[in-house]
Amino acid sequence: MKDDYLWDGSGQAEPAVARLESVLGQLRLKHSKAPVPRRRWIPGAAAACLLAGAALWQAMSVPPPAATAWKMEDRALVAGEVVRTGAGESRRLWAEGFGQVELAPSGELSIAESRSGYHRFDLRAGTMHALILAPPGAFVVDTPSSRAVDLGCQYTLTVDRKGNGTLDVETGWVAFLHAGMESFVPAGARCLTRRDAGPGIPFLRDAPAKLVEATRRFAETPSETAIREILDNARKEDALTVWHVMTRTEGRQREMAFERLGRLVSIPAEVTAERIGRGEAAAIDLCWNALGLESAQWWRGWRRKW
Amino acid sequence: MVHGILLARVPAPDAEDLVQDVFMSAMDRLPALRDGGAFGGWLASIARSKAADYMRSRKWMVEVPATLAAAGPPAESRLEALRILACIQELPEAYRETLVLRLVEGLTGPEIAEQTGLTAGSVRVNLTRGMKLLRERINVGKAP
Repeated sequence: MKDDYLWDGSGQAEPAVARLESVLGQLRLKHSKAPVPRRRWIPGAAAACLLAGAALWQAMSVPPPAATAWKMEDRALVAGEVVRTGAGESRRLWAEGFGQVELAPSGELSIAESRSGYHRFDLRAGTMHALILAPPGAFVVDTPSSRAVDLGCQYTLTVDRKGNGTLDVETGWVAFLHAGMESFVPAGARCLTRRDAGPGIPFLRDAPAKLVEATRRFAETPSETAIREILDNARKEDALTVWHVMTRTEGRQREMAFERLGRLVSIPAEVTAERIGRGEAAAIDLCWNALGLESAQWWRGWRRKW
Repeated sequence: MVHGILLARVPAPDAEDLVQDVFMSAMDRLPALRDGGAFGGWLASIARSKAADYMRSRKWMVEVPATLAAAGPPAESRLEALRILACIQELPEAYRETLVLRLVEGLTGPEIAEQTGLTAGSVRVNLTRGMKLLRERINVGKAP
């Protein structure tokens, strides 16, 4: 396979990669270098100590499950507890002053982490509906293919048997994350996520069927045909979808998305195709501002990947 | 792995110093680690957080060029390495970390996945796309 050497060092070394390895290898941490005066131990020894410590800690301490702020039928749930629903039954979990989660029939959910100001659930199967009153970032749901970070909202998240998912946002915003990819999903929008590819391109639930179908194909293979289909069918209100296409593509495809975005919304003159092509964060930020999603201003700075 | 994660985010000389800060911090937080199997991802997250704290704390500082910051005149090959590293540090976060772990630290893709907690598929995508972007940037740098 073409990238085998880059992947696992097998096969014939590609000259360009081998040269980069050779040049950059000199920046590798040298364990034999003279110790820095303010330190007394080297990282290798530190790592070994930590690993040993971690193993010892695991062996010696098995803490009892901690009760969480989450309740179900007036009983406090413990960290790690799994909640399952049978066919035709649902369960409501809630945390005082924080929010509530309803697990629909045939679902499986666990509380992976719960501490003051931060709660992380793991939705393994089925559908959950969340209504969260807490600050942005305080409630997170992991699925087999993406992580949903609540940005102050109400949403429905479904995970199918293959681990693929669908996110529907009713109010506020949700960020859908996986391996460096991010999708920002506002009220009225939907985003699909695939186990092998992470979050897709979000689209409004009333978007043209051709655009929706093209976002599905884009998630499978970001071909130019799929991109053109998205861009050609995008309405003014679908600028959010086009913005995501722009941030997920490169080169000519990114130029196409930028050009289309410029026809849908008013982009400041200082934002040029060259700046967007170079991936300048400030320029991409100005394009985001041009979407006119004012309600997002208060959270947009929470974390920025582009 | 820790050094690679730091090197993807902070200047090379500072990354070496920060490595031990990460381990000391991890030692302090060890009681909070519940799942020994998650050790790699846990340590990686501490390293990322340490790098972010460091970059925030040095916002007010004046950048000293790597050539001046070094104790003596660096060899041409080290200068080239620093130039390429600067190109990597301009890439999106997911790509830069994976590329540094592969090209600087010498880890293979499967080893990166195992140590950082990322899926093998994500690492492979990050390597391929990151490498493509890096080639473009290096070529742009060479243009007259």
